[in-house]
Amino acid sequence: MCKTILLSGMLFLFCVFSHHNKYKNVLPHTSAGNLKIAPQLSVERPDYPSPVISTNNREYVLVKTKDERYTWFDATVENGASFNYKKGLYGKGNQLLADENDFPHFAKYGIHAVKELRNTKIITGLSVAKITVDARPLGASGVGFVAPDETILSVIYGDNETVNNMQLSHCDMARPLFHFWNIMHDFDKLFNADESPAKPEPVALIYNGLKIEFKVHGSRGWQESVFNDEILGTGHLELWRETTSEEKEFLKKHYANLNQEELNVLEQKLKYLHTGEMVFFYINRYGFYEGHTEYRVDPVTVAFLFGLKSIEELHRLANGDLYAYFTTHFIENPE
Amino acid sequence: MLISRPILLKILNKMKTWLKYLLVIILSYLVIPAFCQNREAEIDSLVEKMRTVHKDWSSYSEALVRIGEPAVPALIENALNKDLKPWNRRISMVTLNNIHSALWVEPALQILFDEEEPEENRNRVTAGLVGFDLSEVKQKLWARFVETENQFYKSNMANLLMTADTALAYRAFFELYHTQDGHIRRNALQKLVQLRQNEATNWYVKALVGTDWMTANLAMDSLINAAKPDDRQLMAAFYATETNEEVKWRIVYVFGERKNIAYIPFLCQALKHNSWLVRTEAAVGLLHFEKDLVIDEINSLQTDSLPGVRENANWVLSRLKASKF
Repeated sequence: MCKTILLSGMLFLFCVFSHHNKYKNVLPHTSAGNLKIAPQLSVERPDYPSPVISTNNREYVLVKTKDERYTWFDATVENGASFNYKKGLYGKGNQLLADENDFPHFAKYGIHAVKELRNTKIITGLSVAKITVDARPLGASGVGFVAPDETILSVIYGDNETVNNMQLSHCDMARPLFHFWNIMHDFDKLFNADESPAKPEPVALIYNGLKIEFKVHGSRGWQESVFNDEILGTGHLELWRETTSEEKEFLKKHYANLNQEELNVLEQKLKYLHTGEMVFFYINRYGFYEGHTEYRVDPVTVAFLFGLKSIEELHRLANGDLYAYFTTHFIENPE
Repeated sequence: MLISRPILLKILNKMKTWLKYLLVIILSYLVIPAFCQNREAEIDSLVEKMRTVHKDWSSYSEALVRIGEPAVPALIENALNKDLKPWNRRISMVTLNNIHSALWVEPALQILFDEEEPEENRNRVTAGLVGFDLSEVKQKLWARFVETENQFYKSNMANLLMTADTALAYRAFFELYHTQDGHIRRNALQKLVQLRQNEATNWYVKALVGTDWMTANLAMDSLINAAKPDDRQLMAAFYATETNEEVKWRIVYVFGERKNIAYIPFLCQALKHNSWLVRTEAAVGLLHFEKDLVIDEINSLQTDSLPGVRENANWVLSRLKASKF
């Protein structure tokens, strides 16, 4: 009897905790003592999984430097000091904040409930129609946050379906992007005292065994958010990795119907991201990845780039047509 | 101090009034020239630095702006001195613009109309002329507006025409409104309405149906806050067959935000619209009214044949019931 009660209690607690953990992609754990943490550097590539969570709950990512050295960087996704270009504040910002007022289910589970999206007509106090008009090209930004035939809700709804089908949460999508952003943001600060020509310069992240390269370009001024929030953007961020020979073979085999140009487009869509830092915050806060614009962070690209899902899984989830998936706009509103 | 304050006050109290006046006069002859000499020396030093400084000029400029009028003649010399580097002339012009003295008007006009001056300098001085009566040079200003090709310079000339000749200003802004976009078009709309207030609704409706997002937003905000907009024009634009869905959305947004009960039937009708933008905005617009004012109209929509209309009506009702009203 006691055993049954104890087991039921444990099961209940397990259910409560597993439901409330918004990450569905579990990262491996290790002791921080095993890692050569920045500013320490090593010549040998460490034989630990990256990213990894230390016993003190910090998230470490292995970074490769220009001079072929490695360091573990504390890239923990967390709420930090204010991040506001207008006020010259460069803290981490609210990386874990989700819009609880408009999306209580999303804030709790990291994924939208369709019923909740159907009932959404206001986000951050603005009507979704107004956000949509502002978000279209030549509105609040030249290239727009959604394509002319998309709405803010059709895009959130479409991407929610994709993330849900991958059995991941929006937090799982935002986490690797924030890891990258936190490294970009803080790497230089950590090595600031080092004025030597050999000052380490990060050139790649090692993520789930994959080498992810990047470029960061600044710009003059900043982009205002389409929501009524504090999020601003200024950077042009590029991330990419090489496709493995197995992945190339898979694409050739399963997409033989595509001509070479289309195949190149598909490969590029899978392995390359061009975006700005606003989207990272948007994903975690609203589950918004931007529509089909040049700044879109497609969740399938995130999953492929950072090794969250294999090409076989993504192909299957896209009903055997990743090309159609990438090139089809979201035009269905959840009503 | 050689003499402490209480002792000094005691002495002053015992002095006769005429003696006090005499003391003040003697002191003013001694102190004021010394103060003036110091001020002149400070101006000379700052203006001299402005002749050669490259970066970090703003602290000198700010100090001169604080001094104000007494610094103007020396700065004008810098601004007109073609032997100085263009940069140093330009920062003197900026400082003069910020002081905004009437003494700067004539030299600024001289630079503005001097064809041998670089275009950038000619444009730079316009900020210092804003607000002054320029009616005597109105034709020259118009000629300059016509002649310059740079859209920003044109816009600055149009701003100067506001205090030179309002008919010419209207002509200039009319042209800018129809040929430019973004900030320039938005500014042109503001000025056109300022010049002809009786045409306000016309201009706003025109801007609302235009393609420029920034200008259309200004028109929307202005129509929301206007005391007596001509609603018939807005309605006509809404029902016109050629009006696209974004424009219809803007009109619904204006009616919702104006919070006038006369618009409730219009907003309820808009709940049935086939455009997602329009019906969604109508639902949100209805939340601006008290429940009792809306409930009868909404109830009748709950039996509508279209499920989307019923859902929208239900959404409005549930939100109104949950609100404080």
